[in-house]
Amino acid sequence: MSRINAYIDGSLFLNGTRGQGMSMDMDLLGLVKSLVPGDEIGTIYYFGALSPQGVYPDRHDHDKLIAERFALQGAVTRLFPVEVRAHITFPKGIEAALSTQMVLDAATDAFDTALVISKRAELADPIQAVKKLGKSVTVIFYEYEVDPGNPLAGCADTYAALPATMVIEHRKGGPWPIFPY
Amino acid sequence: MDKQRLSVAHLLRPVGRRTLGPAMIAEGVPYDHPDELSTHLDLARSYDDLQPYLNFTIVQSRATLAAHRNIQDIRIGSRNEERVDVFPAKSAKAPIVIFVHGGWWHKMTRKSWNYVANGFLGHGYAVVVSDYALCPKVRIPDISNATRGAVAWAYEHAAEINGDKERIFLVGHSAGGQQAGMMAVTDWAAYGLPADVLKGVAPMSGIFDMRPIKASYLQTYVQLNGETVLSESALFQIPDVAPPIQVMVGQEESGEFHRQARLFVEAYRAKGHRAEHVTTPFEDHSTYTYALGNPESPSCTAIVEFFRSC
Repeated sequence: MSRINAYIDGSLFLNGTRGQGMSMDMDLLGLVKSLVPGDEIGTIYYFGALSPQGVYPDRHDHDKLIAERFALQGAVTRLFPVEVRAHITFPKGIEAALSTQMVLDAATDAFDTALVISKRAELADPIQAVKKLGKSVTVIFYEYEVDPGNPLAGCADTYAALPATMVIEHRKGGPWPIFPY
Repeated sequence: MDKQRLSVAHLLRPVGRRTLGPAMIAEGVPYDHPDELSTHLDLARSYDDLQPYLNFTIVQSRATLAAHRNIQDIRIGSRNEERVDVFPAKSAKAPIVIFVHGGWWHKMTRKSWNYVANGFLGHGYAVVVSDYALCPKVRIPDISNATRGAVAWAYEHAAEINGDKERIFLVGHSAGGQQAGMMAVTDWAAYGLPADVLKGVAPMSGIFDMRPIKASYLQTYVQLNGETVLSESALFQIPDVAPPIQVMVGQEESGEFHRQARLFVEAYRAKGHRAEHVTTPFEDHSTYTYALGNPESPSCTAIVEFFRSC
C-alpha cells in the first residue's frame, strides 16, 4: 500500500469538468479513492481560481462554495484571485502553490506517491524535483478529442486519462451530461 | 569625458489601469474603460481552458446526428454558409423550434450546435439548426437576414419535417440571442410571412443594445457603424405587435449579460408585450446551453414550458 497525496489543479479541473457538462458538486474524496484503489489517501489539496468579483459576482461566490464543499470533505483548499490584463483573465499562483506544496511534502516524506490532477505543462519541473527526492508521481487528467494527450505524461512515473464517467459516478448534484437518445 | 547619463524618467508612467475619461465611452455604455467592458464580453478568454467546452459541443453534436434522423446542409440563403441542419419530428404537425448559434458573430458554425436538437426532439419538436456567414466577411445585418431566411424556410417547408407552420418558435444563444431578439422585433409582413409567424422566442444570453459591442474589442470583427449599432439592437426596434419572449441568462454570467437581459425585458414589457425573465442558477454562459441537449434539464424544460404557454 502506497501513501498518496493528491494535488488538484482546481482551475483546469473545474474547466474540464464543467466544460464537459458535468458538475463540481461531487464526492471528491470518493473520486480520488477510485483513482488509486487500495492505496492510503493522505492529504487532498485543491488549488482553485477565484473569478473576478466585479465582473462575475456569482461565479466568484460559487468558486468559494465549491472550495468550501471540498474542505468539508477533508480537502485542503486554496483559492487564487484571477488576474485581469486588458480584458483577458489569467489564473495566477496555482502552479507556484501546488509545486511548492508538493515538493515540500516530498522533502518531508509526507507521501510515497503524488497524484497530480492537471495537464499544466509548467508542472513538469516540480514533478521532476519530486522524483529526484525519491518519490513517485502519477498524473491523471481529462483528455479531449480536440486536445489529446497531456504534456505531463512524459515526466510522470505513471499516467492515465481521466474518464468523464468516473467523475460522473461521484456526482452529488447539478447537471447530468449523459443525455438520453 | 563623462559618460552620458541616460534617464528613463520620461518612460515611467503610473502603474495600473489607465483612465481615459468619459469621452472614450459611448452613450449607453456604462463602463469606465473599454477594457472593463470587454472583460465582461470576452468569454473564450474567461476560461483557463476552453478545450473541454469546444470538445463537448463537437462530441455531443456528433452523437445527436448519429441518434436521430436528420437532413443536413439545406441552403436557405444566397451565401454558401447560409444553410440549416434539420431534425424532423417523429410525429406530424409537431411544433418547430429554430436554434441560432452564438460565437460573437465571427466564430462557430451550426455543426457544433446540433446537440441542442436532442433536447427538443425529446419533447416532440422538429428542430432547425440555422447558420450564417461570419464577420468580417459579412456584417451583422447580413446575419439577421440569414436567420430570417431560416424562419422563412421553416414556415414554407414545415410539413416536410413533420412540423406545424402555425407553431414555429425560435431560440438563440449569445450572438444567437441577439439574433433571437431581432427576430422577435422583425416586421415579418415585410418579408412575405404572417406577422405572427413566430409564436414565441427565447433569447439566451443575448445582446439587445449593441452600443457596448461597438465600444468593445468585438468591434474589430463586427464593424458596427452609427446606423447598424441601432438597427441591430432589438432594444430600439420593439414594435407594437410582437411575440412573447423568455429572456434567459445563466446566474454565473458576467454583469453585462444580466444588464442586457434586464434592459430588454423592461422595454418589452413597457410596450405591453409578454416578457419572462429566467435566471438559471449555478450555470454559466456555456453550461446552461449545454443542458439543452437533455430533454429533462432545467434549461430545456423552461423553454418548452414557455413555448407551451404561448
